[in-house]
Amino acid sequence: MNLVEIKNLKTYFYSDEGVSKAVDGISFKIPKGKTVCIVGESGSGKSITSLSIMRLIDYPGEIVEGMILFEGKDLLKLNDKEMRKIRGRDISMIFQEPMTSLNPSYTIGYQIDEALRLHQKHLNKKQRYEKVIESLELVGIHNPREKYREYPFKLSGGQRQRVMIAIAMACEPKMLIADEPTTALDVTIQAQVIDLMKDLQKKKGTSLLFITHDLGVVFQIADEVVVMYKGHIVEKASAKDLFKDPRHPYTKALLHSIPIPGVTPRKSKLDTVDESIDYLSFPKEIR
Amino acid sequence: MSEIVYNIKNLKKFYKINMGLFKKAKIIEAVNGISFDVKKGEVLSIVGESGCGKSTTAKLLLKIEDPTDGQILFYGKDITKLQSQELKEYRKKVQIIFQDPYSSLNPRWKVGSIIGEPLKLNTDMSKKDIKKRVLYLMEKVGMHPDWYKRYPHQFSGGQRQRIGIARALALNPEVIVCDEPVSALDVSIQAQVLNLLLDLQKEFNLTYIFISHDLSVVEHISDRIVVMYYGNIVELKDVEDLFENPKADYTKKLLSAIPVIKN
Repeated sequence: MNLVEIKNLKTYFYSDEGVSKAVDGISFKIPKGKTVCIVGESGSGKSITSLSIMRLIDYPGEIVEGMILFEGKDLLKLNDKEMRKIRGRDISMIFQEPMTSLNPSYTIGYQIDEALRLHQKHLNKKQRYEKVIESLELVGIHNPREKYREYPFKLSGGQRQRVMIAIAMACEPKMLIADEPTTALDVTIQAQVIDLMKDLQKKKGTSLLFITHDLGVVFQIADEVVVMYKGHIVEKASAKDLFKDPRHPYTKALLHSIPIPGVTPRKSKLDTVDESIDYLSFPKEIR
Repeated sequence: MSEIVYNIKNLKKFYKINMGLFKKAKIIEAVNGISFDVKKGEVLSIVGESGCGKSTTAKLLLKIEDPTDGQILFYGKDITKLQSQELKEYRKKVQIIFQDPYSSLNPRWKVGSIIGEPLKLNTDMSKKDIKKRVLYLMEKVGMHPDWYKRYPHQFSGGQRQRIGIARALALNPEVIVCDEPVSALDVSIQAQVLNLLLDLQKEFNLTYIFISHDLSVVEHISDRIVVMYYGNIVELKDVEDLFENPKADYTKKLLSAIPVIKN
């Protein structure tokens, strides 16, 4: 069963210099309870894809074509009010920068509570408080009752990212979009955050759209992988197939450009993505 | 046995943080008594999490910060005691490549001026000679000579990092401190810059002190690795030995946390 189906999505940005086709006709599906990873370099359109799903594209950008079916309903046909109801309740998002995406002048508890205040109006104050404490516990924050009253500056990067996840998960969304959630974190903290997200997915059955440029992380978390290059999908496959048998030349180049301890000979020349090659000229590998 | 470039003994750097008017100042032990050697022509990596003191160590070696205690011997001479002229000489021999290629280049300067600045300040070369040297350096780092008159904003992250590398090479240094030189770059660009750094090392017989938190990069480029944790060295070993046979608990934890692709 697919939770989300994206069909021929095109998001363009307009400027005096012409049109920049950030996302140029991509289609993929996100099954229920599974993790789909979008990988690609900066400028490949992976973040724009996630912002398009949330309908957060602003002027001078525009979604010019396509469909984003969420449980069969086209998100692009909803009005702003209807879309606001979906954001945060059915689909929520975590951003890369845990340092800047929390409001410094409100307590952590208040910021998690905000999502509940907006989307779960049947709960009273006390019930919401208990729910916030529960979600803080769920993301592994110790002393949640104390932390409720603290401000973001007192927390480390990893803890802030946990709070961001708590906010995103507070309303138990059907889908979580995570845009490079671990890039700004240390490896050991990254491992914890990834474990946490996998764990939450198992408990709540959430679908996960995970955007990253780190293929090591993809290997750990993905069920399906979508490889993007210059606004297009060049390869789409299950994680198992992709790592075992990458078919598109761009995917191969990307995989070979990272040194793998124990496999890549030390100090050997690494393969690079050749800028003079137009990888779009190769046939797409969609499995 | 190869020559020893640095001999670092019991190096300490404490920062004092005022907690408020009536409270006692808090002391942060950023680097808390570390000792190690750096051999000529090797790549010595310092790894650890943020806050472990790896960047502070780099700052101490570059003499951007003065240590609280301890010695840094550079070819047997304690650099913490160097004065004006000697210090200037030392600074020519040790250069740095920064992490962020976006904020470490002056946006108002052309590429030629950026790479030529160390030459203008530290040598009495003529303008013509400086230009010649800059063009030579640009060729070495794989940049087109036509780009001499361009501004940094006209380049991508990887190209900017090349500008930073050319600038670091300008004075023919012996040691280059690379402070997370590839962590702001895309994987494919990261590979290009790593290849370039290894090529340049061979050609100019450089010693690298490589600071990073990315263990797969470190494994690829290093000869020896220093693992730091809260201001202390927990392990210092040859790269093979460290990856195959980690001793300290923290190293084990760090190694198991790297997301590795296995086939």
